[in-house]
Amino acid sequence: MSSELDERREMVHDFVTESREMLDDIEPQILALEKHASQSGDIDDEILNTIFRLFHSLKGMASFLDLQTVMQVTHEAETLLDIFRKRQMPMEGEHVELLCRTSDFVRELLDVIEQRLSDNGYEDAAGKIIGEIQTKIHDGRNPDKGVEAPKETIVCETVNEIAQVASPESVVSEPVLEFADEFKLTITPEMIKRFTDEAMDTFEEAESTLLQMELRPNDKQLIEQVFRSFHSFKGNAGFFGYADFEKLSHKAENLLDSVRDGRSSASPAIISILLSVVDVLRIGVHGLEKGELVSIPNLPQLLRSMEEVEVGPVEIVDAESKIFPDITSKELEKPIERPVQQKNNEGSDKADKEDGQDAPAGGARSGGADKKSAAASQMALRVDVEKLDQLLDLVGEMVISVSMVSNSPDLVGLNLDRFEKSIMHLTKITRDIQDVSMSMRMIPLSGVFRKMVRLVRDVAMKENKKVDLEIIGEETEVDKTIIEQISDPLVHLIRNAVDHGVESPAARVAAGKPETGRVTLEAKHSAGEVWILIKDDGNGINRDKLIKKAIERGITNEDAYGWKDEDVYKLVFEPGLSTAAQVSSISGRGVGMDVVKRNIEKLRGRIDIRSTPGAGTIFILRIPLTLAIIDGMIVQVGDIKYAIPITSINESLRPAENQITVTPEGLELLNVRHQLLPVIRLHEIYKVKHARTKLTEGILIVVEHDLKKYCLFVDEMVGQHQIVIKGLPEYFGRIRGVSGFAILGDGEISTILDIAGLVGSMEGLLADVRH
Amino acid sequence: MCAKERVDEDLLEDDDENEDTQEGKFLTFQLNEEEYGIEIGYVTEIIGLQNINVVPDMPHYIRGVINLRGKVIPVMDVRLRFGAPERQYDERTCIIVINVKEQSIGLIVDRVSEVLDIPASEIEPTPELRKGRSNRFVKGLGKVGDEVKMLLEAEHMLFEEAAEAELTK
Repeated sequence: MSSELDERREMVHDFVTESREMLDDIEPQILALEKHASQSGDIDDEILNTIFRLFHSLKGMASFLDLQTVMQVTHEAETLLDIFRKRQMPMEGEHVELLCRTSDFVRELLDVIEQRLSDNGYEDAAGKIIGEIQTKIHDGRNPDKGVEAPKETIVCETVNEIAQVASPESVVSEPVLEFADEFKLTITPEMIKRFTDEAMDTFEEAESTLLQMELRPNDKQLIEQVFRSFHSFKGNAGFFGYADFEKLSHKAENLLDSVRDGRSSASPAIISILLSVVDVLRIGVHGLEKGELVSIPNLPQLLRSMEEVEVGPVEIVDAESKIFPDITSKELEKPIERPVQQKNNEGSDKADKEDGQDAPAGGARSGGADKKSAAASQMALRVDVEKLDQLLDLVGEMVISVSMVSNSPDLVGLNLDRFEKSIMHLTKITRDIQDVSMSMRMIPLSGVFRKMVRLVRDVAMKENKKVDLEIIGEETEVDKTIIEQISDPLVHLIRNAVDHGVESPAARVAAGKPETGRVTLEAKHSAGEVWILIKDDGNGINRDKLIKKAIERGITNEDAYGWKDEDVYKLVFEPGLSTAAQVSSISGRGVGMDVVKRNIEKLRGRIDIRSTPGAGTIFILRIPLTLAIIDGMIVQVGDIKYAIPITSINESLRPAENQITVTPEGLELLNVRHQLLPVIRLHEIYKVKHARTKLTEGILIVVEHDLKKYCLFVDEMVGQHQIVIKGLPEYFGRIRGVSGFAILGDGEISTILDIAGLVGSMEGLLADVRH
Repeated sequence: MCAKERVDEDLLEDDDENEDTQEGKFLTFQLNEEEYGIEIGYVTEIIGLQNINVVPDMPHYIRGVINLRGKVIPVMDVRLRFGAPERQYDERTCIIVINVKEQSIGLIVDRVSEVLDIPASEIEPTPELRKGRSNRFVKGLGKVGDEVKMLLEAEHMLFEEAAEAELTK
């Protein structure tokens, strides 16, 4: 009994995970649909169908687990979408709202289901939303309200076609819909993968057969063989709805058919054009594998040249009728993404031309929406995050162990050539394993980025602003930890960009800008860092107002007027300024900004702000790619070994007497190339034993934080090491100026200094010594 | 099939010990001439004294951290935690690694004695002699023959702010 329960738990868990992903997909699609509708006045069928499919898959999975409430809600959503699809009602803002709420509701249900394994008890809440949808559906079905839209759209046609093939008597709209549902399943990445694999094999076969044909042009068997290759590829392509592939292979079939019938001979010209068809198809399928679009750019020319080669008229209708039954019978067996776009049979030339023009346009339109599903088409395995973490932990330990072995004191003085060699090999493999296991934790930012689409829309609506969000580089991959930490900062920054950055439509027009503001969210890799840019084309940060606010709040003094821009902008992160943000039109950017700063610092990242008055603001989040292993300089103070991230170190030196100045307050300053840098004595901060007291006897390490430099005074430098970062044990809570521990090659533990935190705890002491 | 898997899981989690057989078992150790006990359920392992790396900014009873097979674990000198005088570590000094609320921590004790069965009937509550100076770290007194073992409240020992409880005279 308990095993059954376990099984269900597992299934439900999978369902919930998958469904959440689908909902993540649905949301941006709904908004894309709305955007498209508001721009062109019509609905984009492609997007609509995507949403439809997602809801439908949800419904299918829910019915498998007998989750009635989810089923009902998703079913109603489908019905509503179908009305738009049939153009029975124009889509309006309230519908989008309703669809969004439906998706939210299903999300809530998922939370419940995750815990209780059932969605019982939510019928009332579901009833309410279902009722709302049904009202809308009713409105839509009532012709006197909605505009009678043209029913003969392509989708309708094809849906009907399939339905007819399946059951000739059901032509009425209602049952047709029900029926069509069953075919409208999603094409999974695995299916595409299988298709491309199969296609590649087919091409190889066709190619070699064609080459043989060149030698034995009259061998009927060879012709049959090539024909079969093209035919089976055509069937598959048609089944997936890749119209261009289908058309091209169909044409190739015709050509072969004429050769078979003796109407033309297997001349080198025909063979070479067939070979080039294979090449073109191969490139197309290869592109599909990589997630590119299914369209053959020079299809019309290719088709034309095929016709030129072909001698005598072609009985297209004949060929078609031979093939048709095959495809349709397959259709019944397997799910389809898009109904086969089988055009009418008369005048294939004309149809070809039409499609040659259509395909690229359609491709461009669906480009954005398809990107992700295409990216996911690589074979993937779902792995528990915990296992990945565990793996990374173990790899980290292995790295340490290897260096423990290679640096073992037992080996000192021994001459071990072969051993050294083996160790080198081991070290290399270990590093490779480390790289691989780190890369496994990399996830594209798309999930987080997509959430922002909705956010921008909501905030813009609330503020009565018009804002477009542009997303660039969402496929950029970052460590899982970054994904977890980046979401909140992004929400704040994007919200601020829309709320405070972009001006009201009226103000924008007055300033000579387009009414609709633009917020850009961009991710890219840059020299071992991930850069996430949040850019708006708003009014920029008002420097003087910001300083004034900061002075009012006692955060800084009049000196700030003389600061560099970067330093001034950093004031927005001061928690005291947060409430000031709403008061005026300065992009006061205070709300939650310290959260932003803290989260980014947790990732050992930095934030750069650039702003041009009147033209906008850019926030650049710069986050190091790897989080678990860093290069560190190990220094010693008394008994304690500290590790300082190499990235924070500028230089290290043993100071001469004349470089040191001591202020009356007792603050020591080091003169490095005419810059006076404050000295921080680590042993004083932490009140620990230390070996050296005189600055000239120890080492000063110049570190940089927030563009300011400081000198850390330590007893001695131990050396530079790759260190595996271990977080602070929870028991310690926070230690000022310490970000974690590192295990060194000899098994000893060093304390990793967090320069930002360290400097922060010193700030009071150093306040008056700005560089 | 599933039922079997479950058992296996339990075995893994509890270090080959079943929940039932752990009840009433205490690991006893010596500290400043007194005998203490801690529920065996908390104990992960007992290791000899090893190199302790000092950590800055810690209360004096936290001696630092040790590297336990790649894990960084804080170690607490229980003597200092109880306000007893510091004592030179020797070859009998041990670190008892315990796991409380998912957190591992090492306890430095003078010496580890044995694992004892102390049934609930033999455990008496700590008498409150002096008001306000209750022994927060001791949750009961276990009687084993003529001897008395002070049974520790692990959670309090780890997480309660030390108002330097005086267990020892």
